[in-house]
Amino acid sequence: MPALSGLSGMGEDYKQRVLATRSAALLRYWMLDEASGTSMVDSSANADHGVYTGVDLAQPGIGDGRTCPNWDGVNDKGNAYTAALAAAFPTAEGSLGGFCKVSGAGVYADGTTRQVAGFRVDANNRVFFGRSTGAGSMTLQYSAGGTAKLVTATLATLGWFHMCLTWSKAADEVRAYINGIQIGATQTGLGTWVGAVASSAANIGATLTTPSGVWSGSIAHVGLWNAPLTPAEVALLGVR
Amino acid sequence: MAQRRLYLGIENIALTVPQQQALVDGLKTIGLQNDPSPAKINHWRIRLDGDGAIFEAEFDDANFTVNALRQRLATIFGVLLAQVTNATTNPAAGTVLTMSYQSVARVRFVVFGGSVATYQESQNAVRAYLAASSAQWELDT
Repeated sequence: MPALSGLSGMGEDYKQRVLATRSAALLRYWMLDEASGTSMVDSSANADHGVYTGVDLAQPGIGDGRTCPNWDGVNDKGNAYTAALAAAFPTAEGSLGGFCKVSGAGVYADGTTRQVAGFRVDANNRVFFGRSTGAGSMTLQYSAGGTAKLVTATLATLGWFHMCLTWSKAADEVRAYINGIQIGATQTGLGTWVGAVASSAANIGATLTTPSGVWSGSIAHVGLWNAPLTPAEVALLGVR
Repeated sequence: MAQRRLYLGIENIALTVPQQQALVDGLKTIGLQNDPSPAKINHWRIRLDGDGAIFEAEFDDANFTVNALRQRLATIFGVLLAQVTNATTNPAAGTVLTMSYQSVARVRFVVFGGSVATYQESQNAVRAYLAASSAQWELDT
């Protein structure tokens, strides 16, 4: 009997849902459920693992029976950079999504940028989502050639939520989603991405490996695709 | 000696680049270097200008006595322990030790949350400190 995909994950392993979503385009899938060690395992077919620093592993996950790490907001990071990732990074057509949760209400009020997941060459060529400085604001952004396309939402939830960004240079559009629902207008007028993702700037839970922009809270099930997922696909991924 | 997980900050006041590097390299080696939990392994964050760092690990309390920190500096300077003096203050961030050599303040240590803080108290203190000084630590503010 086929899985009841999309019905709030009833009886279904969320991992299988991610792996089944545009599987040929799934470049990396950091499930983030390791119980110990510093390897941040990529569960996609590429098995291109990253490295944890400082995170508290095995914290309560999204409710799928798996655990996840907690970032302390100070000096933790999940470094996803590899030469293979930099070479394959989808600069023109792609999607990035994952679940996150803040450690407390103060995270929405401390005026600090905190990245959930992101990849950047520099300030002009980057894709990410995370906290921005405004009270309660979360930003999903794709910048290419100095042209920034971003959508910001104001949140106050202390529970899990899913964020996803899709981008397509060919279709000239960027879409942002929270919990599987598109937020803001579809962004158009994309620039052209220049350069390769920097070794210090391919991170889960931090902006740079310094680290700066450290997330405060939990992150789970981060996926990166080399194709823009459809609204229907993101809707399936955006519910637990 | 007890093992304790906490955050330790340093701020360069008047160390030369080699002295500062020696101090940072030395601090990277204390505390746990291997553990199944990444959170307990010594890890750090460097301030944007390079003149500050925040370490976190499960440390041995013996590493954080005033004399242990003075001895670390005396070794770096190649001088007698008696020539390194300290002044202790207790601002909101925790216990601050300002270390001097030849009457010149050289470096500041901050035990976030204070010397008897729990891990959570130490984390709360360092996060409050970072939020108050984000321009020095955050790329995007």
